[in-house]
Amino acid sequence: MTASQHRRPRLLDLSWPILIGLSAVPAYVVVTTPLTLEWQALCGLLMIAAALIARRFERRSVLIGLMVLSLLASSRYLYWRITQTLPIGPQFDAWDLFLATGLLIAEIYAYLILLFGFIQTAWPLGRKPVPLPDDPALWPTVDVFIPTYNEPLKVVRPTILAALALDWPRDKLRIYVLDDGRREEFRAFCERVGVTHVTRPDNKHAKAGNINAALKKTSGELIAIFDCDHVPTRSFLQFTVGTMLADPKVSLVQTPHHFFSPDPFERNLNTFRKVPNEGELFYGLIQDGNDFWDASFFCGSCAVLRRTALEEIGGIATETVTEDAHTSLRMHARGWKSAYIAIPQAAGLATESLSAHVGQRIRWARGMAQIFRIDNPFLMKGLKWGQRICYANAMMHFFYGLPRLIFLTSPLGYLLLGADIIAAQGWMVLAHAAPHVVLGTLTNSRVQGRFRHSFWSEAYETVLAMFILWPTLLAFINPKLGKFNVTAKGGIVDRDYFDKDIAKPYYFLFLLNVLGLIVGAVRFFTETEHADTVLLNVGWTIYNLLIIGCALAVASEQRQVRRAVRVRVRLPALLRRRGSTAVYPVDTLDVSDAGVALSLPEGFAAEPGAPMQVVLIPQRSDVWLDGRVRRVGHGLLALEWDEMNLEQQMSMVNALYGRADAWLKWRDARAVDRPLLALRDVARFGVLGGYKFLRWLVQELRRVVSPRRAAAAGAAGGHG
Amino acid sequence: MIKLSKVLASGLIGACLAGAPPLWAQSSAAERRVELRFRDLGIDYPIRLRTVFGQASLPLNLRANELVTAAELELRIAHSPSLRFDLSHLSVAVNDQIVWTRPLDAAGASGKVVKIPLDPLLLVSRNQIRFDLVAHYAREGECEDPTHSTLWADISNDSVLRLTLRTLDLPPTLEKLPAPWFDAAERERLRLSFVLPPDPGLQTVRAAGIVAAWFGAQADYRGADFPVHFGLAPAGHAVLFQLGGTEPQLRAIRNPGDVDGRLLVFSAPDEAGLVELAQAFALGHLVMRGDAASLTRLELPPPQRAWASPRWPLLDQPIPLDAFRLGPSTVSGLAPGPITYEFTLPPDLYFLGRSGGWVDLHYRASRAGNPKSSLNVLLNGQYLGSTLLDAGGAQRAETDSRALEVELPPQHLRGRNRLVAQFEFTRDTAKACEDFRADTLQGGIDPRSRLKLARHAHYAEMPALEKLVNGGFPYAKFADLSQTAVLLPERPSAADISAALIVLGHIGRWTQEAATRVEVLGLAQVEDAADKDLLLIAPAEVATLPTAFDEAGVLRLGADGAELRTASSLAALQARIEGRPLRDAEKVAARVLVQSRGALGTLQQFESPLKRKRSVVALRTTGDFDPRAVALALTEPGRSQFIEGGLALVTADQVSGYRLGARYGVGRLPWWYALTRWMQHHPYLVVPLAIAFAWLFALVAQRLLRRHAASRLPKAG
Repeated sequence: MTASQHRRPRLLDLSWPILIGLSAVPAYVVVTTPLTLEWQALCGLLMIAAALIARRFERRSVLIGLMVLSLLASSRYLYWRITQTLPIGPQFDAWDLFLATGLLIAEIYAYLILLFGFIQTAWPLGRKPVPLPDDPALWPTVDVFIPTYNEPLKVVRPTILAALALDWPRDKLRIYVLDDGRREEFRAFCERVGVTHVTRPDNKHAKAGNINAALKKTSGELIAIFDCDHVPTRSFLQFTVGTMLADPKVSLVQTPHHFFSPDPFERNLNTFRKVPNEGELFYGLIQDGNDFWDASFFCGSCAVLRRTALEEIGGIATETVTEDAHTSLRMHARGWKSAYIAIPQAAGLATESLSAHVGQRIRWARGMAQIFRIDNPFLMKGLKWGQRICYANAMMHFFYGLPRLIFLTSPLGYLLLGADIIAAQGWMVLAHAAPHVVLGTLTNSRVQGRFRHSFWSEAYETVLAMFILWPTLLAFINPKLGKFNVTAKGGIVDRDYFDKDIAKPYYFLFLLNVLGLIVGAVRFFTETEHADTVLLNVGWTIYNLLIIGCALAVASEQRQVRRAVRVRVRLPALLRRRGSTAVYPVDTLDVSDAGVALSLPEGFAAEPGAPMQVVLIPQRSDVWLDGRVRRVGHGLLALEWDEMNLEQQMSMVNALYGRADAWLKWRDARAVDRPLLALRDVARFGVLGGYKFLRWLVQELRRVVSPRRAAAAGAAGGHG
Repeated sequence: MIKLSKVLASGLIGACLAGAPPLWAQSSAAERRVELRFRDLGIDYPIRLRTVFGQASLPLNLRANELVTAAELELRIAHSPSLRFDLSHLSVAVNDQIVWTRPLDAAGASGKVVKIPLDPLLLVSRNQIRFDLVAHYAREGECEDPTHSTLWADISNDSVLRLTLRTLDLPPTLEKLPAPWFDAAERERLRLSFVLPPDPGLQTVRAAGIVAAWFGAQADYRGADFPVHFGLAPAGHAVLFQLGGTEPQLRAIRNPGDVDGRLLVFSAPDEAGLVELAQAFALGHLVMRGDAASLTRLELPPPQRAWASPRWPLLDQPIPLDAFRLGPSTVSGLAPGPITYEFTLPPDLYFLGRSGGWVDLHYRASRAGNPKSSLNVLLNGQYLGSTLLDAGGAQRAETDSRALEVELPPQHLRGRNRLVAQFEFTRDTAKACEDFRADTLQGGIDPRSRLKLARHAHYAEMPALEKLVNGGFPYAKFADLSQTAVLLPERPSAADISAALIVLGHIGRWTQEAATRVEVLGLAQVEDAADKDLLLIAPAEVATLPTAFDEAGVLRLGADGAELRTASSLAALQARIEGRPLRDAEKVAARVLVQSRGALGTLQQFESPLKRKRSVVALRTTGDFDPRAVALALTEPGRSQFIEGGLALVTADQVSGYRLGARYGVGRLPWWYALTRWMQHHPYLVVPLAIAFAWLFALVAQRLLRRHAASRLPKAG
């Protein structure tokens, strides 16, 4: 058994070089053979047709073939770009070459990301939880760490209560609230519910330091870490610890971060639970793909770590602001393994406002860039190639700022400045670029479709591009540059407004592209030469406008109506009038910290304000929750909770967050990705965003020109 | 004073043997009169004299064995009518002696004919006739622009030089070889008769071929025609081969039939001796003293490697340009002549990239002129690039050469190339009265200028008769023709042999080496020369080709006429993909075949059915068409330019070439390049290959990935 385990990797090590060596010649021929425009166009169309047929097959080999085909088309494009289209020669100036080099670098970056992405997601492992031994005596001791700094108790309380409800032998489970805020309120609450309140004298190294300090004071074999707003299900340890027991070299079992409230994209575009959000690609696919290469990494929360592994590398890494990934990288370099179980076993609130969201992404981007500098995965000793590629891709992903900006402005170089950025005929560019783009889109749609719809990456990245550009660049130049910021959660956006600070760079980009579009249209109708090139650049500009419009649409924040986030979930419940014994079995429609909506039982009449009592999931609980009717009718009965005692809170948390299957079915309702429909959606948001922005701009201009009239218009329109 | 010098027809400046003092012995032969128009002397355009002192010269080379007894120059002149005629005049000088000078006048401005008698004693073997124009337009006290556009005079290239020549009765000698059989003073095609014994053996023909190749090399660009006679020598000079005597011997004797003619006699007791004598002659191993030379010892040098002849530059290192320079490397004056380089490149040079190479010119130029002065570079008449001469900055002393790198487009490179560096000096016309000396305008190209060829291979897409025309390919590749066999009918006619000699002379022109290893065989012995490039001379009337050869060409010639084999539809489609419209070529060729009415000369090239990568050129005729006419078409630029592809048809009034016939390649391409090139010719396979590759890769990768995935997951149970 052990012998075969040893032999297998060695065989693989030879198989891959042989396969790649054999591939070199046919790939070289397909990539480098120069073709005339007609043949290139025909070949492009045939490849696209082949891909359209192939994507209908579910088989994994077809998917890999599709990836190879897509890479061939992209390699062919890039080879052609590098060898045939660089503006070198006396008829071009340094300016042309400068812009062309910029675009080429961006294209090479995109190509590498595509290649690494394919490798990374070639075989999502789909790891199943390993059952625990029947005898609980064999189960390890677990410390649950809940680090907190300045979050209100209201946010942290459900997490602590849910941790208490974890299915694990009492004597083997210890819960620690790592309070860097050193707050009395927390101490008292911890004492009351029977968990340990841990503090330290300073706040050095923030969360990483907080955990490291707690490591010294605790002794459990395994450490489960939850951010203070990530509420675990009761089955969390049951699902994760088995993997740790099955393989003593596993240092980490990570589970997804699930958010039951819409993130700013979802809220502002109204796509919650319709279009996969930004995080889903990572937790649904990439981490699962990473797991195949033994490269899934720690994400700071909702994970179980092995104490011995952590102690071997000296605790959580403190050199970067993404201490989690850095810690994992170091454990992998020491030969530890990791595992990822793609079953949401904890949930939390998404970032509230766009600015907070952007702030969080800036931190990730900075941290990844820092790791790329400090412990570059390509240079670090002890990693396997798959790990190097997966880690590198995770880090390089955050360098998209500059390339994205270049893509958004390149056609303007031609349209506005007259620079020859691509020294080739427009149709030729199209004939080479179209298969590259279309096959890439089709393949990614097939690979990622369940977790990320086509063209949404562009929208997500465009919003963030401007903001992560400097932090990543600075961190790349010197990892110590820049400063740490904490993601603020729990705030409320109480009015519709245009987040000007966020949107500012996009005004400029949008207007510039509008100008480019106008100039392009004029040039198309007045110039006789290079109509194809002008047309190509105009088309590109229109696409850019839609994407920037999308960013502007995100930047116009929606009013958040409710104070507590409602979780739409159908749970069995019992309903009775307070003091009555008549019990009605009902279902919940949605549940929140503030109230509940129930299906109205047949013939049940209630006045607003009438006191009611509800048991959620009567199979597991007999705690009656008190509430009052707020609304009734249309088959719905809405209750507002009264002040709850601890027992009631516990019951609420268990019913809402604690169920093992609480977050499982979220993805099922969603439509599969269809690239053209996705493009239509993105385009619609683009048009909407552009329209909103222009309307806002006109109002602003009016205000500048004649303040009085604008004030009147502003009053009539509600918001200025 | 402005000196305007023009180097005209630089091609004329060749090796002309101006040798020993002439012997003034009178010959009994009649004098001959020749009329040389300037056009015939290589002056393609009227001679233009410009500026206040315009100068141009005309080189005139005469045969060493002829004496001028009378000479007259008939000039057709036109000039500016707006000159000050009291100060303007035109002079003619022969070898720097002024022979004629006249003031210009208004009456003759629109054109006049002037007859100038020349003293025949002034004319030697190499002469220069110079025209000087002194012209002014400004009145007293006025400023004069020395380059004013009104300062002009033209001498038409229809002007004539009339010479009466008498052949000198020089004693026959070998010492001046190749004169008198070939005299470099001649600009026209060499015509030299070869006299062979009746019904000559093929080894005798081989000896003649070696000698013909040598004369072809001497005649170079002029081309050479070698009529063949059996038995008796015709009038004039001739080369004669005879069997007899005791040892191989070379002699120069008077032509018994023509007192002015000289015979170059190769004689040996047997045919092998003739061949050895010819080899020694071509190699320069014979001691040419007096009128006879004997062969004492012959040691053939080892067979040459490909492209080893000094004719072809070494390509793997930068080629110093100076070795190929014609004329001066420094020029001066307001309108300086070009600095010209002529170099040959192997015809199978195949550039792997988009660039053919770079010319790395190091130039120097004075700063006296206008800052807009420039240096232009041209290749084969195509403009390549230029630079402004003051690009280096202001005022500093001009002591270093500056570099100009110009890229050579591969499509403009040929077998024989002419690279021209032309200084264009301009004068600041805003300062009319400024003291200006055009002599201060100087420009030169440094000897360290180089030609660097881009990444290349030796490879040729065949059939390509144009490479035979322009480069003697594939035969010239091995300059001693060790890879060449000429195949003749069993009993070749004089015309057949002549055709073979002309082709060998043409190849010799390109190799410039002794064709010592050429083989001559009968058509029946073709198998003996299987591993060679073959040259078949086979009139359809007297010789039939082996079936395999007959099938290999696109045109089948038989006693019953010519039949053009049309390509299959698939082949035509494939050819269209590669950019060769076969059907069009077939249509035109078919029309020419019909119009020829049975009298037709053909050249065909195809891959040898005996061995791959070996070429066959078949020179065949039908009816009573002279095979010599086909061979001669190779040597005449006016006709040879139409010869291309795999088939050339020669009729009485036209030559036409067709890109027909099965394609093959000669030489070797790097495998990675050959792969993409093959794919380029089969573009419809790109997508199937891509899909097949992706699919196979996926199948294998899937197995490997699945195994890896299994190793990542804990074992069941």
